[in-house]
Amino acid sequence: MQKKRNKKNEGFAPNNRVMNKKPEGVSAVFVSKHIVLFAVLTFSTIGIFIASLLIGSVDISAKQLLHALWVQDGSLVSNVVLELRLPRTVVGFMVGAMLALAGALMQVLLRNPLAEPYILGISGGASVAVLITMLLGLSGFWISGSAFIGAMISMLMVFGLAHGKGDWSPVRLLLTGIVIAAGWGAMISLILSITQGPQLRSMLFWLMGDLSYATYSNWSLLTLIGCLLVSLVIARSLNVLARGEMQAATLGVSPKRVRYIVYFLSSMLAASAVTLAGNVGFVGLIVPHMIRLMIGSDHRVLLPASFMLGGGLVMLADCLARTVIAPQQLPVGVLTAIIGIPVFLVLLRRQL
Amino acid sequence: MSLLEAKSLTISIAGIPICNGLNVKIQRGECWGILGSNGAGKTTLLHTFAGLRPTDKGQIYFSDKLLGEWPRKLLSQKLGLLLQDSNDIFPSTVLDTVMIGRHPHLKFWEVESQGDFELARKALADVSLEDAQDRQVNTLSGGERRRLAIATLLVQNPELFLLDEPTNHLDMRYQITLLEMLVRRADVRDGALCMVLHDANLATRYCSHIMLMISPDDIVSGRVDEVLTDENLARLYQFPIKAIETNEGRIFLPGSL
Repeated sequence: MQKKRNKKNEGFAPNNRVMNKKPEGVSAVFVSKHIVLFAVLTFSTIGIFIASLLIGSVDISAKQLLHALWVQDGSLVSNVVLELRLPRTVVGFMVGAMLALAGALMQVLLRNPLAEPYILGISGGASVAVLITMLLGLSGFWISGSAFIGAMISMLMVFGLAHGKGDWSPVRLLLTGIVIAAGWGAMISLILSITQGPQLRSMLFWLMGDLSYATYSNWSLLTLIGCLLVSLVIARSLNVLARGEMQAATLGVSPKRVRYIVYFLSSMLAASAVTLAGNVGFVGLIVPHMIRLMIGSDHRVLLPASFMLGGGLVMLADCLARTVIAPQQLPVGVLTAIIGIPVFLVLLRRQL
Repeated sequence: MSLLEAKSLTISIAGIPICNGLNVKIQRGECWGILGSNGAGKTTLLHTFAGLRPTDKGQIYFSDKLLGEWPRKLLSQKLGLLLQDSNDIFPSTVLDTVMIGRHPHLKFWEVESQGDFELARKALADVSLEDAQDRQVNTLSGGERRRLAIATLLVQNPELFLLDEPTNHLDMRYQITLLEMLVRRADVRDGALCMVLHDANLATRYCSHIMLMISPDDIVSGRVDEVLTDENLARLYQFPIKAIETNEGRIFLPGSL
């Protein structure tokens, strides 16, 4: 006890000395603490990526793969790799990364661990628009176009309605989003109930999340990278915001401005993901929590790690979706849940 | 030059007036105590001092510059507020939590340096939480959380400490040691303290000045020995209160109706 006292009293003078010292930049502690996690994530992502190119209805050897990638000779193998598997694998990664990032952002925006990218009705709006498009017999570009437009309509509606005349509190935003999402849900049921035959099947596949028609676009890659960079810039502010708006304001963060940015980022990510692959569930909710259980809630680590793990998980799920009962394909959304749930439960058990 | 000055300040919350035309000056080296009955608006007033709420009328100056004209980040390096309660939704360790106090001092691309970690560990030692730095926040008791919040404020290292019921959940030993430490820290920074208290005896012990929020139009403020009397306290709480002079100073005891 006596010893502690002395230490305590000495505490003041050195404190001030340290305080006046110039900041030292990136600390070794911070980097070394997380390097293992990122190394594991990077290697497993690369591993899954390569496996995803090799495995499928036509098995390709590593040698053939290299040949196909380097010498684009128009052979069957080259076509399968370059035109089918590569874009689909990349889109799979992008969708997973978008959803996991959007989920992590949504959770801090709403200060609710149950939040996920679709909770504010983004996917509902997209789904209704897509189902109507399918009902009209349109396909291809029209599907992704209408998905994006539907998502944006829903995003703006929730944004406007949640504002009202009062302030933009997380609870108000959450309730507005959930009510709008419920409305979309009712419309989805309505459309499904009046649709018959093969159209119904493709609608259900889209709703469950499906990468088979996904096409790669530079635009979504830009959205993903842009959103990741902006979210990394505000990551430390998010650490503060996660402790409440009042606390954030006392620490020099403008809660309103940061929350607007986060709403915009997470909505854009969710809308882009839905546009690419429909409703791939579960990733956005669970991946951020997996990372939190492993390394805590520092958003500077949480956001990029969720990005990697989300991308890897969907790539893996899609790889299985294509091969488990080949030649028939499964919806990727089902597989993400089947892989993710046991992993998550193990992590949760270890933590508690 | 005063650290914080309110000029004919009028504020209200949800249509209920809190104060009408309040004038008060907090100078460096002073320690202010705000006393008032439940619902008198002590917290609202403190939040207004911290620039978290708009005023209806009047101005607040911090270091002779209008509060609203301070860039938020710069202000939070000089003005810190201990909130009445903290809530943590996501899992986080004690050390990570206390580190957020460094946020105002770091540029957006900067990562906490070794020096920042040292500050955080010292602050945890100051509130006797040095052995808990790797614990999850949600495993802490109410008193430990309170000490953690105080440590976060120490890491923020402001000049003006605004404290909303700092002794909440704290046992007698920590009430005394932590208040003493906060007063010393404000002295080291050549700053000031302003705290909402419910215990008039703590107020006599640590405060140099007192503000009694009797009603929106009747806010009595001044030096502790002039303002903190049994008569004023009885008027404030609408309850009989007796002052007893002892060798250790004046003690207030509530009577009964």
